[in-house]
Amino acid sequence: MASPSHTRTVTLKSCDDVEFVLDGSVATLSQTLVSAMAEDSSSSDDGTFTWCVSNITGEVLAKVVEFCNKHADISSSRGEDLKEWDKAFISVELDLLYDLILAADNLNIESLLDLTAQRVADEIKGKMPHEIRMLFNIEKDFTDEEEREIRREHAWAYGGESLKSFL
Amino acid sequence: MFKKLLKKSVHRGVTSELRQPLLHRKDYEPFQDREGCEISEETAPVAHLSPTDVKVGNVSGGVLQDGSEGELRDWCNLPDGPLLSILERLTSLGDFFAFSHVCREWRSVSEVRKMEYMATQPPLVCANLSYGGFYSWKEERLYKKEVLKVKGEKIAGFSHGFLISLRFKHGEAYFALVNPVTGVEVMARFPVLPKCVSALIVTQRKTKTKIQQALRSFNKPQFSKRIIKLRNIL
Repeated sequence: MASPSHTRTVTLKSCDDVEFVLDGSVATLSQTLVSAMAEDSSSSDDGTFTWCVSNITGEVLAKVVEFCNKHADISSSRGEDLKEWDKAFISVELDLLYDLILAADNLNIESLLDLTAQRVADEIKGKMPHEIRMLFNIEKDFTDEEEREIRREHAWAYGGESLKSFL
Repeated sequence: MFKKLLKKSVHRGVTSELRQPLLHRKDYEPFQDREGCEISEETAPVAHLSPTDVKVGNVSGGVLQDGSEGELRDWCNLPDGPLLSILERLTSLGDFFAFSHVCREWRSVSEVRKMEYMATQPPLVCANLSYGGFYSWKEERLYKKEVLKVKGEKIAGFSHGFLISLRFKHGEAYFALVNPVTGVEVMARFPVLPKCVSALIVTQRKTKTKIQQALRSFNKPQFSKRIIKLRNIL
């Protein structure tokens, strides 16, 4: 029988062989690890569990572990302070942000998914489609028919005016 | 910062996009916020950038540290889960549609959620102006839109972002649930309503099916004698 996940130690190994040792309680933030540990019965004796994440580099995993440690630490400040910490944490370059999104998705860490999605949404807000494409290096790949449909929506979707101008 | 963006775009061969803001400025004129943002990007010295702009600046190096330069992140093909999560956080109509106009993948994700998204919108008020339009309470903005395309069509009510429109086709009158953005009938041909109902406002959040059920309940046998063609009473 595997010991309960919160009492075990988890070793996370990145694709470039960087290892991180986590407390079991920290690892429970990741639903992927929770399910993996529940299924695993091989390493019950020494209480350690090793998990390789094939597509995440050490640099990215270090950030993920930093995030999990902060969020699992119940003695750490809550509420406003944690929000401030999150804000500073997520002020990263977009490339790293992208990697964090994939890592959060892969390890299924809900709070990190929320935080990264919020950051992307904040980047998008108030921008025009071509500005968003430029920001994220996305190619426009619509078919002619889709283009027509979009032009129809275009005509008004961004044209909101303050009511004051009509009073 | 703008130079950095330029450099990156050249690398990706999309320089023409950079000129779009200038060429298309007139089209987007009413949206001052968006335009204003754009102008500041082009003219403001780096030292005076707001925190948001600085974030954009960080992005645009185009070259990654630790030796992995040139590897571009494929934002278009993010997994659906994160994409939906991002989309859920875009609450204004303009942002929702900007998202859906970025690329096919993003559009397909937004199409799945369009119905649900519109249902979360507070009622849009039809502004009684010569050209037609809506006022969005949530965004405190007025949108110009020709909604009354069909001759004699009337707006009969609102249901969380959708219009309940009274339309006429082939001499028949019918109610339709209409997407105010595209003018497309989301659900056409409600059951014909009795005389006593000439306008209907559904205020509770209901799914398409439930609205249909609610409307059906108007057609109970006790009302059936009073059902007449709507065009006769309007």
